[in-house]
Amino acid sequence: MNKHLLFLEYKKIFKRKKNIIVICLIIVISLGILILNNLLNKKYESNKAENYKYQISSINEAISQIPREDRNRDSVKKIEEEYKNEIKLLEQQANAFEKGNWKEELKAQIIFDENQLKNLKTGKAIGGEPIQLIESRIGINKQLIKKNIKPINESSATQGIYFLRNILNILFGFMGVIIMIFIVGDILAIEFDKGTINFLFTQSISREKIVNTKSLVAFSFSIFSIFTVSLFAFLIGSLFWGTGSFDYPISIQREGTSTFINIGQYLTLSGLLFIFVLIFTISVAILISVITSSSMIAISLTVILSSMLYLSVNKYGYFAIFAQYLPFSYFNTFNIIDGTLASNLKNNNISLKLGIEVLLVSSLLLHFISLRLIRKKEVF
Amino acid sequence: MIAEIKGIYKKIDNKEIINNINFTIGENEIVALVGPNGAGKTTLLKLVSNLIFPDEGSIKICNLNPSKNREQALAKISFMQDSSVLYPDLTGYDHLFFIAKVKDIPLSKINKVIKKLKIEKYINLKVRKYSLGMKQHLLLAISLLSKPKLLLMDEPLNGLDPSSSLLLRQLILELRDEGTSILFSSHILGEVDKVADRILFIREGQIVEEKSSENFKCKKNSYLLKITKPEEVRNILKSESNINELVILDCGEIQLTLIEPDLREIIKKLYDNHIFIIDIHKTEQRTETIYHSIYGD
Repeated sequence: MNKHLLFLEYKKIFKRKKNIIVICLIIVISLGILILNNLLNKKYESNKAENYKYQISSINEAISQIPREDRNRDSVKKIEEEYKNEIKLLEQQANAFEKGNWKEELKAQIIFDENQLKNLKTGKAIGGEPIQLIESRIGINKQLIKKNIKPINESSATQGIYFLRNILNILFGFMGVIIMIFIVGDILAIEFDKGTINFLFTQSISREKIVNTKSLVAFSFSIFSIFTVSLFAFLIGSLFWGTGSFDYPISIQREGTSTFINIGQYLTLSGLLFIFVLIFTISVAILISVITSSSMIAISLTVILSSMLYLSVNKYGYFAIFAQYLPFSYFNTFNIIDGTLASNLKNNNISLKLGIEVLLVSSLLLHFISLRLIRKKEVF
Repeated sequence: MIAEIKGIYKKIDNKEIINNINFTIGENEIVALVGPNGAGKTTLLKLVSNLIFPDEGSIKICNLNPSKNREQALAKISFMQDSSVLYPDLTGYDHLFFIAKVKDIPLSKINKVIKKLKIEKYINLKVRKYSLGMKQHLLLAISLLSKPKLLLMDEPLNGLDPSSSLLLRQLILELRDEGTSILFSSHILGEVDKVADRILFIREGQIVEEKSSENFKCKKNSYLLKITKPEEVRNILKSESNINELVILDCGEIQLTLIEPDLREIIKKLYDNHIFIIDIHKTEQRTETIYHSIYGD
């Protein structure tokens, strides 16, 4: 690595208006999401009491609709009793909510969910929420009570660490890959486009070093961009609503069972996997740049290729049997860490460890090809 | 010897661009590449600078083969290319700083070069704000800073005003005196005459004529005539046996190279055809003359 070239490349990437504009845009969008989340949260809180009332009145109505002549039958009596139990639990939840006693509210929710689960497992009830989801909710609620952490509305939480999770849910996924391709995907190709590559290629620096340096700068600038946005999201959320708990439990699905890790570990593991996703994405972009010498083609081809392969695995479930060996399977890192993709594709081989190995090997292979090609690349 | 180019062939898109080119560049020598657009001048410079590779033949820079010892060979070269190679978002100083660091040149030399080229006013501005002339100055500053064994220049006079052209000429000669050999391409034939030790005339990828300063500056029996109706002169003098070469220059003058140094018959013939001589003097054969004789009027 040539440190002078590295310094020059950093200067160039930080002085590119496009990059700074995109980062600022992401920050502004984050701010927009935060404001929206806050509004949604307020609405959620104000609707919660109404929801309890609505559920209670629905069950009451169901009870009232039981024909009089059937009410003395044992089986109907049992159903009526269960309905009344549900009402009792819902009333407990509503009261606890009104008093701000979230622990009592959760305890009632756990009993409610356990009953529901029992009915589903014994066949007394059908449909409704999937068993895994109810089990996961019971587990999380138990953990929250045990750790004394106030529950949140996960999709619209605004506290620092929870809001960070929401933002990283976008950045550590396919959208993040696309944004990073847009920011750094043309780091090499743009030089061919503008003719500035001739300036570098006529210096006494090997072409391989030039490609290595550009890859490193693209990678570190991507990390810098994500870090900047993450820091902003965390700080702005923390400033107005507190940091939230780093110990907040996240449910992990593995081979049909739920385990739990805290949100800090969850974000760290997702971030770790995303580092390798970035390395892979940059390797693809660099290889396409070397082959095509055009920033427009490099960016669009990388985006098209990534989208097609990502969607075919993650959305349409193609190649499910050997998805664990496809680097594109790992683009949505949250889905890998919490086991969603493994569960959806029914492929338990998809894991963080294998993901890192697949992404690393693929990146090294692509990078090796780029280095071979750049040696013989002619600049007309 | 600084550079040795031997039996070079290069095809681009199946078209022969360079076709068996051979030449050498000696120490402290200035060699000019002259030829019309598409003759292969820039391709040749790119081949020497290892931006593209020959299909056949070999290139040696200070006895180093760039395809085998790329970095060592490129350390001996500086290539003043067209201004598109500059980074628009960086300042002129950023470029010079990078070159100084890569080539291990003391930073104090940057300021000397800046002063020498009088570019202090805009050296800290982003290159995107530069005019073409300013960019050319920066490219020149980069070349001066490097002080290479071989300086390659592709149309260095493009975009320069007359005073800058004069400065460039002085700097080229200065660099030569300090031990740099120079290979440059140019369309401005008058300037070529003033600096080149040797001129290579290229046509369709081949060197069709090679003239050293000795044999083109003092050619015998060459006269420059300023006359009325120069367009008629070729017809009038076509049967004249004493004429070796007749070239009508762009400025309307004619250059005559005679077999015997006797102008009397020619003057008489012109007079008889009502063509009057305004001025006449013995002259050196200029690059422009050779250029016209090779590539036509």
